[in-house]
Amino acid sequence: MLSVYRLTKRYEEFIAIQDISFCVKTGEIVGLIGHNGCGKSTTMNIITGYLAASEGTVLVDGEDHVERANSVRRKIGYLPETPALYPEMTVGEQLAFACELKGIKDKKSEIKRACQRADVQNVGGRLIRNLSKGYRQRIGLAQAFLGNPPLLVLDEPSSGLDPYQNAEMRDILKEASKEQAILLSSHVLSEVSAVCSRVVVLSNGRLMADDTPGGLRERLRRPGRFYVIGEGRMEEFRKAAQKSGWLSDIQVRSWERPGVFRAEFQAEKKDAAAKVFCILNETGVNLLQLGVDMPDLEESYFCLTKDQRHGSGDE
Amino acid sequence: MIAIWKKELHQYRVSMTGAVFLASYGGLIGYYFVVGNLLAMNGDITILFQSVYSTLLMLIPVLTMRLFAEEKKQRTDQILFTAPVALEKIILGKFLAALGMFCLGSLPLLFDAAVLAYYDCFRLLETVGCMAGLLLAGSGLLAIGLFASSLTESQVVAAIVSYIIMILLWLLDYLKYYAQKEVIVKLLEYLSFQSHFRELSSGIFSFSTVVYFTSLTVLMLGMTWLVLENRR
Repeated sequence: MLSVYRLTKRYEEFIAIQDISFCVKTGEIVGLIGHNGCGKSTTMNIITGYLAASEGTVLVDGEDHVERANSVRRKIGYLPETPALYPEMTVGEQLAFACELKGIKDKKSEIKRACQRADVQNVGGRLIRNLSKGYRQRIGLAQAFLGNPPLLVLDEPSSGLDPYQNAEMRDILKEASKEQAILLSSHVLSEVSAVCSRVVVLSNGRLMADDTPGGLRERLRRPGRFYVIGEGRMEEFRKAAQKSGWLSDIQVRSWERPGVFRAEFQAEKKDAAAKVFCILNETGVNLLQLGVDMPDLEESYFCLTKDQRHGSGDE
Repeated sequence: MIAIWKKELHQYRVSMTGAVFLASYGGLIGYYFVVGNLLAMNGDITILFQSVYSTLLMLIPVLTMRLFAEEKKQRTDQILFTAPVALEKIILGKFLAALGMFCLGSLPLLFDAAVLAYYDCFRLLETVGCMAGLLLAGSGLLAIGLFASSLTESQVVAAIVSYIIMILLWLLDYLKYYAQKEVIVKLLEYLSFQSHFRELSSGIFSFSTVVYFTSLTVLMLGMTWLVLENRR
């Protein structure tokens, strides 16, 4: 649905993004992540036509976003970082205006459908300036839903939402992804990990990775790295493990509740697991969990963008 | 374009800007008419229009300062510039909405003309000429204001830039006294508002004045387009 090829945006000397390429298919939710000023919003602004690219191509449903600008814009529903809403309008007026801009004929039923999807049916007559941030965000989302565009571009859709609203937003996005392609940006990596089927990592305007959350974690996994969660004497376990000679790079720390610890280690030999059971037995530690140590998305993100978090602050 | 035109008119209606403009413009027209025509027992409508032109320089920026500056400040320009609407249509929609408000504000002039007609002082061609001239000059000034609004995200700065451009075009006339060459004198006279305002307020509808204000409007709208396109 969306193909971004070698996208570059320059502001005289400063390069906001360089050589960004990725694609989003229908039914996919792709998360664009990166530190502040890494070029997420610039990328989204170019895709939606708000900014022009210095180089590169954006194809939406096979159509070039420069040559067939209006047709492409009709296929995109956009929720900017700050929802583009007029505070002096009522929700109904705002959505009707957005419908007219998009050239939607059956305004009434379209607004009703979009409000249902974004769960904002009950605020139609209220002035936007009187709504909470969470509701404004949802009105912005309803605006993006208008016309049922095949591609949704959502810049930090969960910003300013409370945990309940966040969970609702996740459900809304999952539901929408059944028939639409979604590109979203977020700072909340746990949310990206929960919602997105693929993640594009940007750092200082460059693409660092484009993979599934699992793929990213797998990429940074160290072979032979295991973890144990046990209940009992932590220090004795540490000493016995170090003494065994079978395990190396041992890191032990308290875990979740008193008396419980998590130990991560590198197994040097093939049957290290058996040795771990011996150590547990010797030290009288109850085994709660044993598994392959995989970095979570946050750790993967930090590894990928390490030493790069010094952007200019421009988005 | 119609959607943007309607939205702008709605915003004029709900915000103070529209009300302030209509009240002050209407109030001043009424004042000039009462003092210049009724109390002075003068049936010449051109006197009224002469006063109205200088008022325009003061009031037009009130109408235009918000048009693009506020959109940029509130980031609502993102809904406009990512919608399937050409940039020129966005500019025209806003311009025509401001022109609509200007025409609405000028309606009391028709009432004044009717009062003069009641006293048997009505000269049709002169009145039509003055009204058409006002529309023409108003378009030029509105286009200057729209251009100024596209340069900044501060309404105050937009208004100040409009005033500066308008005052410069007004004061050009005085430079002719220092010009040595006849060509420059003619050029300064032509570029200045004053000579054109004088003509229009006298009900003279010359071809050069029509070209002047039409060119000014097109030029300023074109420059607005360039500013907004370059920002992308």
